[in-house]
Amino acid sequence: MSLRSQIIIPLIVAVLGGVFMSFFIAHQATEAQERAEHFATDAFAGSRLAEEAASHLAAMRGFADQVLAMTTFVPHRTIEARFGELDAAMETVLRALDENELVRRVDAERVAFVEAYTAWRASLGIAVGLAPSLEVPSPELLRRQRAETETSLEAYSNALDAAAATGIATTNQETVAAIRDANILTAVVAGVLLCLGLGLTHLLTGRLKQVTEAMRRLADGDTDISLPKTGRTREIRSMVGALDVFRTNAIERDRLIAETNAANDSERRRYAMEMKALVAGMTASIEAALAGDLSKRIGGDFEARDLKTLAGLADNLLATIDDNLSDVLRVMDGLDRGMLFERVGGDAGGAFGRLREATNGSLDRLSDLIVSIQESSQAVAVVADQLKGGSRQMLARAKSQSRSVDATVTALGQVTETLASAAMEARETRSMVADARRATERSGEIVDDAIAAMTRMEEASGRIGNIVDVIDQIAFQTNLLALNAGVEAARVGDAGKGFAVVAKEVRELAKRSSTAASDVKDLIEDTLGDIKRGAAIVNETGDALARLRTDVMTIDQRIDAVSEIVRAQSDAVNGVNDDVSGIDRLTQENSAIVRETDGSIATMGDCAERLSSFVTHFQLVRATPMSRRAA
Amino acid sequence: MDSSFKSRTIFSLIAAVFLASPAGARDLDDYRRPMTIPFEGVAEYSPQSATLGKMLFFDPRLSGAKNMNCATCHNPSFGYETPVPLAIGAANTPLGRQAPTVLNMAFVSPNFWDGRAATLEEQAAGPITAPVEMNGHFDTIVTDLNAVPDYVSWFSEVFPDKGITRETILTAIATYERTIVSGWSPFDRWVEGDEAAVSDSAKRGFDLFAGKARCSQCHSGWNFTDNEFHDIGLHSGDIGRAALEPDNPKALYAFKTPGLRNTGYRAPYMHDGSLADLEAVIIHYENGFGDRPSLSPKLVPLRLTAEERADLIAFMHTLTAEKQEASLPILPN
Repeated sequence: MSLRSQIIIPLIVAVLGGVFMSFFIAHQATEAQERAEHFATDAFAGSRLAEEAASHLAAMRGFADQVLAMTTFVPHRTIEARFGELDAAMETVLRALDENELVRRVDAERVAFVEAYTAWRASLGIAVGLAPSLEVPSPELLRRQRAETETSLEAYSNALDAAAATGIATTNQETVAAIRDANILTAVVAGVLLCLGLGLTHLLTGRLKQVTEAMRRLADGDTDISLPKTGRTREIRSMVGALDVFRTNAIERDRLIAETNAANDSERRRYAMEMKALVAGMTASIEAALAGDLSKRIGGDFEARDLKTLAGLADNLLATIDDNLSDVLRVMDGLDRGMLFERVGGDAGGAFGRLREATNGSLDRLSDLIVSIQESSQAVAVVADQLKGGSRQMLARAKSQSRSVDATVTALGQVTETLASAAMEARETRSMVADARRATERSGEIVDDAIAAMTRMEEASGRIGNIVDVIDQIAFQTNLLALNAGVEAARVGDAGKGFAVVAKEVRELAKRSSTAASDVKDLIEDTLGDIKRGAAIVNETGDALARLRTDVMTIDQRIDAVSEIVRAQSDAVNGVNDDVSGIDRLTQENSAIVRETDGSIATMGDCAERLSSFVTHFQLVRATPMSRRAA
Repeated sequence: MDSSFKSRTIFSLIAAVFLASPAGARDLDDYRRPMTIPFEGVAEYSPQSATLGKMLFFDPRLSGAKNMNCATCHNPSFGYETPVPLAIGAANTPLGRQAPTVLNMAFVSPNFWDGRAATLEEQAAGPITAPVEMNGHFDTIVTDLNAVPDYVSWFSEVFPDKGITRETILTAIATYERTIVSGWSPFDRWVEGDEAAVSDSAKRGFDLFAGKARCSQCHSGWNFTDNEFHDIGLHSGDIGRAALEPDNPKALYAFKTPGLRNTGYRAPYMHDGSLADLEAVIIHYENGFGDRPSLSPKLVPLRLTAEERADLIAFMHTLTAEKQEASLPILPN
């Protein structure tokens, strides 16, 4: 079998498996899509029906509102016809809803809506005169039932949507699970195929590696190699054949290679001896230089021209280093003694030139530095003097500030006392108001007593009236009896004359009693009138007292408010007091700080002086006694 | 002061517990409104009959000078009353009594301040024909209405065998009047459990109304009337119910308890319109009445604080409907 077919066959198997799996997954997805579409269709139909129902309900409501506004006359047959249409439309919608598969999932909502609608429709029927009843629904009842119907329809519609969404979600989950299973199966098959492929590859690479190893050894010149096994693969078999040819050629070439070698060497030996002498000389002088002795030279005579030149150059180098270092040492020695005017001379270039420039530059800068230190220390001394004056002044001001704070504290104490006395006044006023209130309450009781007394007087007057009525009655009867007595006396003639006179007197008396009784009655009526007016006045007084009590209570509340304000002010003053105490403490702390600063300034002056005297050690110009700079 | 203040606080707390605990849900249940309007024992309801009645209620052709309608004195914008102490009629002189409301009449019987009309039909006939009120004559009215073709056709639909007559006119008006119910008010929502519907002041006012102030002795139930007649000590000289019950001493100066729905905009108050506002009414019931044999025994003097009066008034304003539902009819011409 060829290498190509060994690779291609598993590839074809894998591709076919993949195609099958993708067909399977596509089938699952299509099926799920169909189911979801089914749900969506039902949901769409359901919500369209709910919308239709809502529009019928709105029409029903609008028409009923028109009838019940009673602003125009709507004949009975018109109402019957319109409701007939609307009922039929609603009936159609409800039946269509019943046929919707999705609706079975939301039966509770459907029942709730149908119940609410039925109740509202029944009330509407009565209100618009389609169903006679002795209980006519109030507008409020119609409004509530209508609202209930609309709400339950909305809930119904929402539940339909939710059911559709749930159905689609469930379908999606099932599909996702099926596709996942298919994916797992694909992964397993792919794993097995991969293992097979890897095994095959390993076998093939093993053969190829044997051939390559044999070739590498042959290339390295090892012609003693055994030819590897050929196996069944055609391409590997031809590679082993070629290797055999290469091995034969290599053995032939080795046998042909074997001859080329000769040379001379006396001059080379003399040169080596001179070189040895030069090395010894250079070693001695460099070791001395490393130990600090720059005076040792190589010297000696060399036949070889290049060695001679090298020895001369090394001696020159040592001499140059010695000269330059000596000059620098001289300058440094001067610096040690404070003489800053010494400088390194000469005009050597390169590293020595840089050493000279660096040493002289450092000395120049050091001189400048000393000059500026001298100037600065003088300036610091002057500033320290000025600061000393300032801090003295600051100390004096802190003292005067402390005196001001003391005065403020005293003034605040007076304010606190004033507030305390205001609070005292408020308390006293409160107790006075309380007395006033007790007095008004007591007055109320007195008014009640007065009313009771008035009532008792009224009753007594009534009873007196009754007694007077009795007296009046007796007088009337006495009058009648006297009249009869007179008549009887007249009948007995002269013998009755005396009695007639007596009877007349009795009648007079009876009349006077009657007159007196009627006078008493009038008097009692007048008194009753007075009592009623008195009672009215007492009542008014009672009302006035009640108002007075309200006023007194208001005053009481106001005084409470005043007390509260005084207390708040007192708190505020206490707060100010605390703040002033804080200022006092800060002032004292400031004084302390100023005193400390004063000490620091003195120390600074001393330091400046010491610095100045230290700098005088350095001579900036060559020593002639007259030109020394004053420190 | 502190001690008396304290003792008073304790007393008012005890009083509050004593008064407030019974005035809870139990009392409120007595004030729950009916959801339907009763038509038992009266002319059958139909929207057509009520619509006709509404048109007639607003039709000035029912008056002698064709210048007044029922709404002249029973104006929906003033709680179906008129804002003058005594209504002014066709003679341009004040009438004997204030115009009573038409609200919730399906639940009220008998009618008029003295209850002289047993039914709304009977009542409607009175003001239409009274010379000092609308000064109408039914012969003229029937003739005039028969000249309006729409009325002719509508009456023949609603009253097939009768057409336009005194009786059918009155039946239609009474049917319309039975459909006039006051709208839902904050108080009703409170009764139905919405605690936030009325203010705390109004709740205290209700406790006073049903408790200490004794208002609910007569203004009882959801429509706030016992449909009875009481002398409340007003000095109008009007003998009231005694005209119908001369032998009943308690009928003298007695008038029918008016319902309190929408009372906030039904001023002035009382059968003689003598009290301008609700505060005057409360003060009258505190101690404004004198004593006389006919005075209702339910009246007992009491004293209320200014806050208590304010609470009572706040409560009465919660009886005002939240929505005015009256719309005006288009009249045939």
